[in-house]
Amino acid sequence: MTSSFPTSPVDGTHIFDDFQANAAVTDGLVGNLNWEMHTIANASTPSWIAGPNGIMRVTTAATADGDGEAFTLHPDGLVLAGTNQVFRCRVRYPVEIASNNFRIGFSASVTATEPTVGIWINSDGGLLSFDVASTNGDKTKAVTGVPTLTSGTTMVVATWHDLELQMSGTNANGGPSDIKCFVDGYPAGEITGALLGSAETMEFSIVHWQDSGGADAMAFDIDYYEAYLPRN
Amino acid sequence: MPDNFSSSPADGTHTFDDFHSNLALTDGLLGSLDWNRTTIANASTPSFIANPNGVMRLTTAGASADGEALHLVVDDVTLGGGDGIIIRCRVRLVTTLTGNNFRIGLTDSVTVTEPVVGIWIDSDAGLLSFDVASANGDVSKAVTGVSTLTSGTTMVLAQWYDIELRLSDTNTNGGPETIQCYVDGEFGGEISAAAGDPSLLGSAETMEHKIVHWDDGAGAAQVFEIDYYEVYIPRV
Repeated sequence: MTSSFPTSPVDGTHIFDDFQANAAVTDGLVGNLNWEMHTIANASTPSWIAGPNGIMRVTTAATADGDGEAFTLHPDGLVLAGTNQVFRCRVRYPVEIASNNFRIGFSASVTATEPTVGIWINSDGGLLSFDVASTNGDKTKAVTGVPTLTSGTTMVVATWHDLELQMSGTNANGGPSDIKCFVDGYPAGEITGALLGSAETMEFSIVHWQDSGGADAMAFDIDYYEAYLPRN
Repeated sequence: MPDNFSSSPADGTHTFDDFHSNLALTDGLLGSLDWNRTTIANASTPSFIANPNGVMRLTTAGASADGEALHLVVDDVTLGGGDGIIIRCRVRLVTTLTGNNFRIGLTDSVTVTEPVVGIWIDSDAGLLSFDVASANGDVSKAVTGVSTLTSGTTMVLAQWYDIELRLSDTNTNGGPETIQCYVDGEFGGEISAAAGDPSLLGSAETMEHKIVHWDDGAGAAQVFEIDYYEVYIPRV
């Protein structure tokens, strides 16, 4: 894993939030990056957890099945052209994992509906996969073989996991062609032949929701969100 | 002095404000980090000073005990042990030293009262010290022997100073044990077991990023400037 990226926008765009910020939970002011908030059914509650490195907790409303929250930046202003982009985050389910879901990465959706355009890491009750969606066609890949995950596939409750996507190559539509996934530094699978086009628009996004079938306050922690988009 | 830190949050948390930002003076929108503001008695006036590198000025309201606390991550910063935690800033006292005071670093206080938890740089009218406070016990150390300070201890009016705390080792409470202070790159003192007084800060004691400036002088408006605030906390 390459930890450090160039610090100059001459080389590329480095977006990250370590959630060491003021305590605002207002739409457009969440975290260091001033994330926008989009409620899914009934609003979740963001909060800040004590630690050396900054943690945001998002807890669903405990009102109805399907409640959640999407955090976004740069709506419909992000495209991926060419190669060598990196996305990564560090996440945890502090209490319960079943029916506790997220999508994190680049996407065009601020609901629980699967995005029609995007590249993201998906958790369905802790079962991890990664996806690329495009008007040219979608691809999804289950995470497998990671020794720090249950059965190599599923997050462990109350345990931090480092998730990373590395893009490479350029497909016929101008977007990245190959996507490698790493979990806790271990290779977790690869999508080849992605079809994302270089003009398809997305946004930076963190989407969390629960689908337990009823009301439930489900918590999700994110330690950092990071994306590097080289100037290709 | 480490001048560069990893650019990724995967390695550690790098929090800094160089005060090149929009001109908002509002609570929750001050500086690049959107600092929260808490008034001490009567509100100070923040302003931004022309400079290549961004400077924020705080001017007190004009009465003794007036001031302002700027803070982030309320009650949610903890420090585990190990090496590599850095707290540093560049500051100056602009018009008077007498009655012109600040505390900068990680603390749990938004008043002129000394914090009960924290690690910070302290100026009492320019006389510099550095402190660690904890439920387990407090240690304070005067800055001495710095050639750019008056008598090796006291800031010179209108002069910029780079002040840095370097934390290392792990104490029995899980927090940092050793704190070294540097002023303008010169060693200014150490809190450590070797020096007879280690830091006792516990790894679960909570603080926040803090810049506190206040006046305890004759009532003239005190002027303080900060060029940058920077903290690096490695991911251990």
